[in-house]
Amino acid sequence: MGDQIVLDRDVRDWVLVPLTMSIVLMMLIRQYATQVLMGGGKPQQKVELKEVKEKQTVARSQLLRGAHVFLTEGAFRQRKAYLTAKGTGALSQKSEQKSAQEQMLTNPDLMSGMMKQNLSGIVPQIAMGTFVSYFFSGFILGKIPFPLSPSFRLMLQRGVDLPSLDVTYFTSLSYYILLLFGLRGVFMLFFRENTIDETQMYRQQMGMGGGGNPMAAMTSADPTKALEAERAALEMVDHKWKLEGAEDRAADVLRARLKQAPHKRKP
Amino acid sequence: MQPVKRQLEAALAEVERSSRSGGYDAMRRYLQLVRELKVRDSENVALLGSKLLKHHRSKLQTEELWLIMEQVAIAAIDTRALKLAADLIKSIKEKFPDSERSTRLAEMFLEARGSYEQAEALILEQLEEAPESQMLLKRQVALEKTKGNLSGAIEMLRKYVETFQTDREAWEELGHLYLEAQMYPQAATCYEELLMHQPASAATHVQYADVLYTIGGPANYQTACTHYSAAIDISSGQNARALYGLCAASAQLKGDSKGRDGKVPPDLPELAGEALLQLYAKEAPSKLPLVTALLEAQQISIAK
Repeated sequence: MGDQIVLDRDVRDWVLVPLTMSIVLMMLIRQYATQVLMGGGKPQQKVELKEVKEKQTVARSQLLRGAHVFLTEGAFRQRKAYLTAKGTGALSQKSEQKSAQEQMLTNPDLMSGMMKQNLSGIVPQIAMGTFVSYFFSGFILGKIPFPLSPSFRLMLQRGVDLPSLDVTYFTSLSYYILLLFGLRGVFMLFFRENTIDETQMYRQQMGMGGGGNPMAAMTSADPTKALEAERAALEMVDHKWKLEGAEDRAADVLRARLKQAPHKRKP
Repeated sequence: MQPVKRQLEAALAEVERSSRSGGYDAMRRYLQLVRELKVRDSENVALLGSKLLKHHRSKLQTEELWLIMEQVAIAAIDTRALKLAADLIKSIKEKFPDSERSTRLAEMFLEARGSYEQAEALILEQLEEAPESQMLLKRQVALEKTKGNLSGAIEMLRKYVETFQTDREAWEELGHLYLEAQMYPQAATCYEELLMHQPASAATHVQYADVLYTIGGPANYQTACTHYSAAIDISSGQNARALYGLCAASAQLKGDSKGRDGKVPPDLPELAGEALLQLYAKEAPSKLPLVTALLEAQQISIAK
């Protein structure tokens, strides 16, 4: 590597430093803008008790299908009847949940919330990209201290189209992209969101989906159909008792144990 | 059960040892352990936690600080250190005015102080805003329990499990409440639910079998026997209650000739009896005669 490129000091003063500063500033502004936009309205949408009940009914039915082997036949029949009885069973009810489309129509907040989220992410990105490529493109900013294969040229030398240039030099545009993605992690450390709220986790565990992202609600299919499917699945299940023969197994266990360590019997 | 206790004791000993040098780390670790294991060791938590908050408050990270504040506040309520609890809850409430958790703390404080009406009003007010808050709905049940209104608590909890049907803890609590009210068939239903959630736990089988045994009747004795057997199978014969239960249930079956349909292997009660004796010989030799007497009363003959 005899022919090293000497970089002008002005490149550092007028490109490297301002570029870094403007990216950091941009991200800061974006952070606060998101907070203001999101914080304005209540982020949590209200959860209807009835919806919760329906979801839980399905979950319970699934549990019953999986774990009924530990129940006696009577207990299983009782639960099955409660869930699947024609007309009155919990799974035979019409769903009160709105399907995804209805939710969209009746709750414009959902839409605008998503719009806000997306806009606050995309708009600054575009603006920043234009800004950087207008003012800072075409500079070589530095050199990475290890050799690389030529296929990295596209990644490291964006904006400078010089096939004869050594791959280890990187340009301002590549530096911008690197910072854009790399700084996200650093920022996350600074702006750690509020402490992890156990209630929030709880909610998610219970499958209530409150406050979760609206996309999840969109993907769920027609809820009445889900109830119907679960009912059909449960009706197919015939009772099997897994504890049949538990006594014999217990006897075996005890026998093995007693044989292993015969206790000294006192008269 | 045992390892939990041992872990706690080890952590406490560590606190003891390092108390000379301030013991900041040891205390913090102890509180963390209690939180993670979800045990309720209020006396120690209140004592160590208040010390930690008093002397090392500035050293704690914000997140952990508030977690510890909550933990200590609850422990203080438990130990009736109401002054301490009031101070903590006040600052928590100031920091998180809209949080469900701080509302719960305030409600618990009121409940501990005995102002039930105020506590109830607080819950109802919050439930208006968030009717699906499990935390508050459960507090409502607890409040009824504190008041001593058993049927009220049952009613509340029944409504709760009607909605939150997969809440294992709620079913367990409802089972307890039904037992207290001596409504055994209803309790059995709750324990069945529990059984589906944790079929691999010997304790669950034993609880359920206990309820069935209490209800009585040949069919129930039979099922109880099966579940005691399952518990023995799971615990490999180490669960004394399951062994006792098996002996008792099979003794009942023996007395009732109709109930015998040959499901229980004839030597199972004897085996259980022997396992019991072995267990007692190892763990509590002085109580052996009592066990022998009981087994004799149940007409379980132990091989010479």
